[in-house]
Amino acid sequence: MINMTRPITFIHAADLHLDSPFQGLSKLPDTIFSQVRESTFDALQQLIKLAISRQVDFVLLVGDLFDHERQSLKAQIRLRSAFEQLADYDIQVYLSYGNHDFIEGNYHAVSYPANVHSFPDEAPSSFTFTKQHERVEITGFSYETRAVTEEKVLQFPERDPAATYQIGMLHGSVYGDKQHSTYAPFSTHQLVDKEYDYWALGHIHQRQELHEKPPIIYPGNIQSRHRNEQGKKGCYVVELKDDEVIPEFVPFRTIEFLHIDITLTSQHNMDEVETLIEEKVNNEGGPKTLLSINWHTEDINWFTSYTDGWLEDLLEGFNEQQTESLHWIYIYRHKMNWREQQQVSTDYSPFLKEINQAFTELDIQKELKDFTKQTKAKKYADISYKEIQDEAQELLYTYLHQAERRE
Amino acid sequence: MKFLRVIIYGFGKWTDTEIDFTTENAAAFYGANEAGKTTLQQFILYMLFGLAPKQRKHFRPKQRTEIGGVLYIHDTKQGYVAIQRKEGEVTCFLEDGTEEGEAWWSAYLSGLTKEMYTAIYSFSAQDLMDIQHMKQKELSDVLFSIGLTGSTVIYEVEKKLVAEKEKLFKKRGQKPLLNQQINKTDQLYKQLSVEQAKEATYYELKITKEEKEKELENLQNSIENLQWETQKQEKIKQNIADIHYLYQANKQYETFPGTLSFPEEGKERLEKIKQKNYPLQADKTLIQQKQADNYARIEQQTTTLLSEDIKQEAEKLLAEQSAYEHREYVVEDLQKKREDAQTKKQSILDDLNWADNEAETLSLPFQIKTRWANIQTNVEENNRHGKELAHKQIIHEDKQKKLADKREEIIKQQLDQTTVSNLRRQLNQASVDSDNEINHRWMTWSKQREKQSRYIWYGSLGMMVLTLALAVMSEDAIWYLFPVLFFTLGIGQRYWGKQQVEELMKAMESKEAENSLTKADREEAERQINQFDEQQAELKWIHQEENQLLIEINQRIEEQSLHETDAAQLEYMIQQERDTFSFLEHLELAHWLELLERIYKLQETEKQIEKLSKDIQYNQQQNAIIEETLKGYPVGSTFTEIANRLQEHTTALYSIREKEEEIKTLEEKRLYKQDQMNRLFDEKTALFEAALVEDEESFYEKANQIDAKESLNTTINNLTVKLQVVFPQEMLDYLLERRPQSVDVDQLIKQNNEDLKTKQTFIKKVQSEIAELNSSIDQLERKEDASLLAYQFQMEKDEMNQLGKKWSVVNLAHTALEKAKHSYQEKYMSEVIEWTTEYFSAITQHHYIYVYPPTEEQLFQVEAKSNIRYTVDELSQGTVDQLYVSLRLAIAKVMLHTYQVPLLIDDAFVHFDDARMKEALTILGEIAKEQQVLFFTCKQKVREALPILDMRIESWKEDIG
Repeated sequence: MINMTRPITFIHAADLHLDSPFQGLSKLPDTIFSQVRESTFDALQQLIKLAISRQVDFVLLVGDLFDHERQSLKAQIRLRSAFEQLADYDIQVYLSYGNHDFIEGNYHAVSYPANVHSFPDEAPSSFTFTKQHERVEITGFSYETRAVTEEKVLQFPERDPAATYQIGMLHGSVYGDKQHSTYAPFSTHQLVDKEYDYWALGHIHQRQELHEKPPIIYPGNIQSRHRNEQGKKGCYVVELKDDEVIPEFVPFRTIEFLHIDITLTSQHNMDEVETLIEEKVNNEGGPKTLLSINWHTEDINWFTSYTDGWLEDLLEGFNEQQTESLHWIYIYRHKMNWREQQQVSTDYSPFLKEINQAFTELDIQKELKDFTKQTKAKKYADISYKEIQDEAQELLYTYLHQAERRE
Repeated sequence: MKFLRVIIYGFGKWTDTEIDFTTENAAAFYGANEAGKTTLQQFILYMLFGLAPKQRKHFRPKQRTEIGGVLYIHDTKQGYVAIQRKEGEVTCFLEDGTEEGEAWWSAYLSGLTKEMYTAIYSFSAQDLMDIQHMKQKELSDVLFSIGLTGSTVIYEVEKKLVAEKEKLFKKRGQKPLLNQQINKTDQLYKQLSVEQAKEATYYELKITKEEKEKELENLQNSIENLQWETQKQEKIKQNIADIHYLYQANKQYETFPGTLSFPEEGKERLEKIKQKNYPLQADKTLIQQKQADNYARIEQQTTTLLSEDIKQEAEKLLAEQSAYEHREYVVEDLQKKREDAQTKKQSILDDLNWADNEAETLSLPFQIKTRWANIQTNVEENNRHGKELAHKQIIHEDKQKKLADKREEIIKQQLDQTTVSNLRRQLNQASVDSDNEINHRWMTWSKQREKQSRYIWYGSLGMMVLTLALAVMSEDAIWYLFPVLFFTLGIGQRYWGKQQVEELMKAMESKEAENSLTKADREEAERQINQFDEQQAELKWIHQEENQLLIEINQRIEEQSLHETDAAQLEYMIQQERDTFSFLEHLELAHWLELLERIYKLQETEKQIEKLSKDIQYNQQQNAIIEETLKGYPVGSTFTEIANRLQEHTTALYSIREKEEEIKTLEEKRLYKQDQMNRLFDEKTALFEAALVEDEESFYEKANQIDAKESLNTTINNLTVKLQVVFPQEMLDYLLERRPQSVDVDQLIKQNNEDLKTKQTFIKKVQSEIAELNSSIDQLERKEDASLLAYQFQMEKDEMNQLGKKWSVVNLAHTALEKAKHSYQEKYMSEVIEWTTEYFSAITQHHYIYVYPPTEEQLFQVEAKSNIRYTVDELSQGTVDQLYVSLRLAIAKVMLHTYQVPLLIDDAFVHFDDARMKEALTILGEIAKEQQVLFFTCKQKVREALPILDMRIESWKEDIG
């Protein structure tokens, strides 16, 4: 028996980046590697199950469902079977392509089932969804090429007066965001001016609610793939009820990236390190956590155990234990920061002055060309010179200091 | 800065000591080994830079629990400062009376470290010793790097960085981690590219598949068209006759006039009238026929009727019939009975073997039966009696004979009377003896003795067995004696007993033999006497028996004669009867009564036959009268004929009445049918009028004309409908107009079929191509290699970049260090080399005139006054030491500008010859003018040369401290 008063509900998700490899991980053990590899699909499945269990009417996917840079047929095949699952429950899918899955770059062109409606080109157009007497207009566009730099919002039509609700789907960056490439830029007030009921955004991987009435939302990506993408990932379930729009964020059980800072003192010993990590992660992490740690210490012994690899051994042991359980913490990166209380000011040391001077005068790119211009390596080398300079400087001071202390 | 004095609370071997440096700029301390020179230097360094707790422990004096002391210094900036250290704690007492701690002191030192101090401002013989162990290149480096900063620290860090760097990456290496990782990443990238290229074909496959599917669809459509066209042609072919026929029919229809006057369904209606009239006509005819028939029948029946008087007479006669028939039956029955009786009579006659008439004459008296029975009984009784008598006679004779035989036998056996008398006499004598009694007593004894002997025998056997058993049980040989003993005893006793009895018997026999008559003789005599007596008695009994028998025989003979008389009497009586009745002549008396019975039966049968014959005759006479009447009777000569004739009469009468009734009913029917026929005729006339015809013939003619038109119309309609089902109207019109020929249609079909075949073959090809494409697409869809490789590649690439970054950091750090070192060196190099040259030249008394710092290509070099250059490894150890000292002094000299601190020099000139030592001391003296110098030596020779320095000399003995 259909509940006649059941309001229209839909799911809003974006930036699925299916089968797009995680960045910044290396030497993952097989068990975790395979989980990482499945994680984007796992998140997709959670989305599909959510759609089915909440009996939503349709699903909005706002761009970057997969990456052309990392062409993966598997991504599109899995996506197709996910859509087929939705088709079994008569759930419609409205999708637009973004800067990573732009139409012209699709080498695979897997055909999707009939319940999938994709925006065909860069000109904003609308699909109509009707339920009982209610009519929802869904307006959006797709990237045909990699870069769309115009203010696409200006091309969106005025609100359809006959529609009960109107939803805008926009894959692009809000003015002011510096972290992401600026595509189809817009400002919040431009969107508000359109008088739509909901703006389903995509592109920025960090979840953001830009505006409340009407809701203008970046749902974030469904699975973090980088250490800068921390925190819970998921999608929005939106309810359209009596001219009200009620968005609700539903987190998925995904693999989470987490960064923690741990201060080690001379009171701590090696045996306590694991406990320190676990305590911190249990407070902040999820069931499956890819962890990066910044150590802080003033104790030279801790620093030595870092430089001499003892700490590394300990963490390896920790990681090995973790891979055997269902819930795990895997430390993929850690770094020791050593600061003595009475640090030598470079001002006083003529040699350290020379070192500072040397760093300012160094042509870093040239110095590193053996690696960066190596025949094979140059294709894949991807390093930040600034970061390297800072770290090199730090390393040198630390080593000198350590050596002096040892004298 | 100048050191003024030190107060040592306790440090190594120094306790509660005060040493003053105030007077001169240079102070020399002379003391033997272990005098405390080095400890003092360490104390000064401790005062300046402190000591780690561990190291403090090393200098803790034996008498005190803590180390510590005060260093008084003076400089132009701060004036007088007292630095007090107790263990790790430092307190600075300033001129203005304030006290400061570690932080202040640290700031005061401006970054001067213990390492820097010892590297730049202090050196000793020990440093020279170390040089000697160094290799050439290192030597050169060390020589030059000394004093520039914490030289060993830099050196150590440098070494560490280089090692790390090289472990990570070499430009043309393969083994270092980063090199390996680069190769690994590249390898994976290549694999990934291959897999991605494979996946890239997916799109092409999809496009090709779509094209093929479109092609397939087109083919299927054109096949469908062809099939449809063929079907159409087939239909035309199937219906071609109808098409032509329809065309003809249409043409023919047009020849008929437009309208024809004729009643509605006229033909049918006429047919109906006719149909109705036929049965009526037929019924009418039938009725008329039946009437004629009925009249004829009545007439015929009338002739069969009888007149009334004849009919009555016949009925009367017929009434006799049953009596007549009964009598016939009775006669027949009686005749049968008579025949039976005659048969019976004949059988009796045959039995008697008499002629037919023999019995008729025979007359028998009524008592004859009794008479014959008596005779018979008497004869039988007589015969029986005769037999008894004969039997008695035989018995009597037999008995007589037996008795006679017996007597004769006894007499023959019997002894004569005399012999018997003798015997009797002998016996009477012998019986007087009592021998018999004695004999009896002996017999009794011998029996007892025998019994006794047997018991003892059994006893000894028993004992023997018992003792044998005991012997077996005891296993003692002596016990076996007892059974033997008992056995022997038994045997002996028995044998003895027997002997006794036998002896006795013998004795008795001999006693008997002594008498005249033996026992046997006497017994024999007794037996013979007894036998004789018995025989005598028997003879007496025989005699009595014979007498008795004689009496009986006499009686029998008497009876015999009586019997014979009776027999004769009876024979006579029988003969008399036979004489009377001849038929008895040969007949046994026993059968007489039986014969008599038969004769009686014969006579009875004859009487019965006679009676039957009379009855037959009577009945036959009665019937003969009736037969006479019937003979010549007009109605019929038999009862049956008469009865039939009467029946005929009755039937005819009934039939006539029936027919008359029928005639009446039929007439009514005929009138009704006629009425109906009249009405039908009126209807027919009306039909003719409507059809505008006069007669039936022209009516039908007109009807046929209408039917033909109608039929044609129907045909046209049917065909049209039929063809309309098959073809659309337009096409039908076209076909009627064109009327295609069968041959042309066949040709078209053939052509179509050929096209179809070609296309179907093609479709199969396309289908198999699509199947192949599907399989390839499916394979690609299921393959995850590219995805896996992408992840692996990303991971390895990240690893590569991490290693690359690590290398970059180390590399950059190293480069920066090198660069800093070089620039640092460069800054001070010219000055240092200048001073080195001066000092080295002075010390070597200008034997060497120039010093060249090491470069990338070459080692440290010195130039002799002969202008010949020597690398450092070509110099003697002493010269190297002097070069080193020159360099250290030069560095100290140059660095004095940076940190104005006193120099500490410990026996650095120990290996110098006197001249060079003096030169060195002179140089020190020069330096001391600018900066305080504390000089320590243990060499007397050096001490003696010290006045050159114009310095206060403090001498310590070994026991100092």
